Amino acid sequence: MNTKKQVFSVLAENNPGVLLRVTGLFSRRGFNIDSLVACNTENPAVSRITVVVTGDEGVFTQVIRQLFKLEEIIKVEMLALDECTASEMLLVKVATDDAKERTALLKLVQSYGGRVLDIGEATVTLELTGESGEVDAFITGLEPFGIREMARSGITVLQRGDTTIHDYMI
Amino acid sequence: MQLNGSDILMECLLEQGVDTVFGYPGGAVLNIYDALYKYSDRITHILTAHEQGAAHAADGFARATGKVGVCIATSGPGATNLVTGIATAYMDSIPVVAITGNVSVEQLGRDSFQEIDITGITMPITKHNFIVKDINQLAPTVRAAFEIAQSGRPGPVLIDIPKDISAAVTDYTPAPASQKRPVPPPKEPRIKKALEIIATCERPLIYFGGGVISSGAEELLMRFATEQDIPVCASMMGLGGFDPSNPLWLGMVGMHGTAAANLAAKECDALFVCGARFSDRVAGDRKGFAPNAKVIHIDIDHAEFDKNVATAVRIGGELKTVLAAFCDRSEPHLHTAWVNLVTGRKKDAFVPMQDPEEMPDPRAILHSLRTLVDDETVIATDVGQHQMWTAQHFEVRRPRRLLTSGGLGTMGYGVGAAIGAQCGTKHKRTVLITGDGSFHMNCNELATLVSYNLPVTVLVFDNRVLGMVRQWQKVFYDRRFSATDPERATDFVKLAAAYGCRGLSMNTASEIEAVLRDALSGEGPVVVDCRLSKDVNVLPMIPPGKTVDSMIETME
Repeated sequence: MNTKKQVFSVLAENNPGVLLRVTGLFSRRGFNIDSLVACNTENPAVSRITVVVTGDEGVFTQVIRQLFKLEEIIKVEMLALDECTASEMLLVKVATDDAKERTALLKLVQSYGGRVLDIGEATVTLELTGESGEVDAFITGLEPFGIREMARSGITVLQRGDTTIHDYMI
Repeated sequence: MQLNGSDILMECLLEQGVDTVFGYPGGAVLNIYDALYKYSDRITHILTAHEQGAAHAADGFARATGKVGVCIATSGPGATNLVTGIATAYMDSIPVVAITGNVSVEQLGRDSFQEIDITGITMPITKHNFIVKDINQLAPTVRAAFEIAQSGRPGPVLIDIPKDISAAVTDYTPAPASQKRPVPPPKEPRIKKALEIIATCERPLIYFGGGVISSGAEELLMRFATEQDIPVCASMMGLGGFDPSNPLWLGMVGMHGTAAANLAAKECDALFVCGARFSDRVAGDRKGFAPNAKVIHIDIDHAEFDKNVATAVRIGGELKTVLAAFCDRSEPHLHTAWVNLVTGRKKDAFVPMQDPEEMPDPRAILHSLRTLVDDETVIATDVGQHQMWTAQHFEVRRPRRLLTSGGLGTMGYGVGAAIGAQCGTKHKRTVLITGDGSFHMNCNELATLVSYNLPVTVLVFDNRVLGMVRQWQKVFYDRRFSATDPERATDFVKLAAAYGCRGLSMNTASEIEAVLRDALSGEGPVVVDCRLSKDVNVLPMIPPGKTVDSMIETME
């Protein structure tokens, strides 16, 4: 079977432990999580979990059906990446020893539309928000400078156009 | 009405029609036990010897009655002792509400004495669980727990109640019993597709499981099978859901199923799967099971579709609704040649030819037992060879009359389950068939049988070895009998006596009937030590991962 990546948008009741129920389910059923983002939504009683899973169609179907067996799951939507805007955030601390290097670095940041968040004596902390591929490329560009530390948020997605998750029928 | 949390809990249990609970007291449930004392005229509390026994008893009560079973344990070890019982109920989709105490909300998360995160521990083995941190949420939580336990595919739900919550006072307003959530009707195009297959198939087979029992669909199943002339087989969980004297019955399917059932599965062109899940004990080789069949899978749990075996038609919904649609909307058929072929392979019931002075054959005991108990008698088992012999050789004729741990395979399940079944049915007697290995795990519950003078007959199939594992060592490990011959010196008759229970022994084939008659008469519990040869095997056997083509029919 063909293995690929698939994004799921999950709406769940915003109760303590709900994230554990979802990740516990993924772990015991052997579903592979590439990234997972949990956050509040426009409705304080509802959490949104965006999860990217690697697997085949059979796995994706099981992900949906198993998630629906959890009491606190309100909605699960499989989203095609080309119908979504997907974005993730990168924070990265890069070594810059001399002024020349720092200039080259800032040029790179500018070309990617990143931001400088903080400047230390021997490092700069940068931020970039964008699609995963863009973030990957940015990291590759930063590598020669020396990456000291980084954190990626994992991707969050919303449908393009006027469609929302509330428009989907279960 | 202002009540404290424990009284609210009692009132909520009464709202749900609960009249019996199984449990064990402790520090964190002192308030709850104080309420049980007060409500003892309306709620019977059965004190077990160990919390595991209470969990199995709640499960056995639920299986035998169709109602929700309830067990109560204290925090920490009391709660963890429930875990095996909850997992057993989860794997077999049995509605149980487990209530645990915990330390006060203020003490949570501080590793307090007897504190355990039981909601964390039981997350993978419950349909849902709750910790109640606000007294105003207690009544709604109990009601939700009963609703969840019974709705859709049933299963266990746990409610963890910190000690201060069971003491806190709030306003209580009575409410009606929780109802099962309505199940959406099956999708019409799917039903139509199935009806086409019903009309055109030539070699159909019905394979059903515990879903027939939990949904009470046995009559519609019988109607569908007989009107359409379709042979029937079942997983172990389904036994009792179809009259075994009906000529269409092929027996149990799977690892220790009949050759007739397994060959029919291999050859059928349409397989109607009713409330069953293609466990590896049924479909050892998922691709080799019913390889030529269009699979029509009917289940209330959509996650079962395509989980193990790919289906041609999935019908999500209430089994009764779907079977009624099948019956009402199809013309009767005859599949005479096919039915004759597959039913012709059924072997006559096995009757071992025994020298009267030989050790009794377990199959002979089961045949004799069948003639001595009525169809309403609940038979509970533990796990191992005796369990498979029971499934193969004891004809279960009614739903909810065979209680056995199918999914989890819990050795030690039996005594607790028999306690629960006896308390639930109040039938004149319940019979537990166990093995010496399983019985050693939880024989402490004999104390409970004696305390409540429950009429339970315990037949210990005592071959002095851990027979099922030993059988696998014979076949797959070149007879290296590692840790399966414990050389225990336990005298089960004396053990029974020590608990204050009647004990009998059965040493020869000639004694079978007389000892069984004795063991089924009188009052209160009886233990029978049935001394068996350690070399009787469970046959036939399909090795794990294999198909009927690799079926083993004889073994040294």
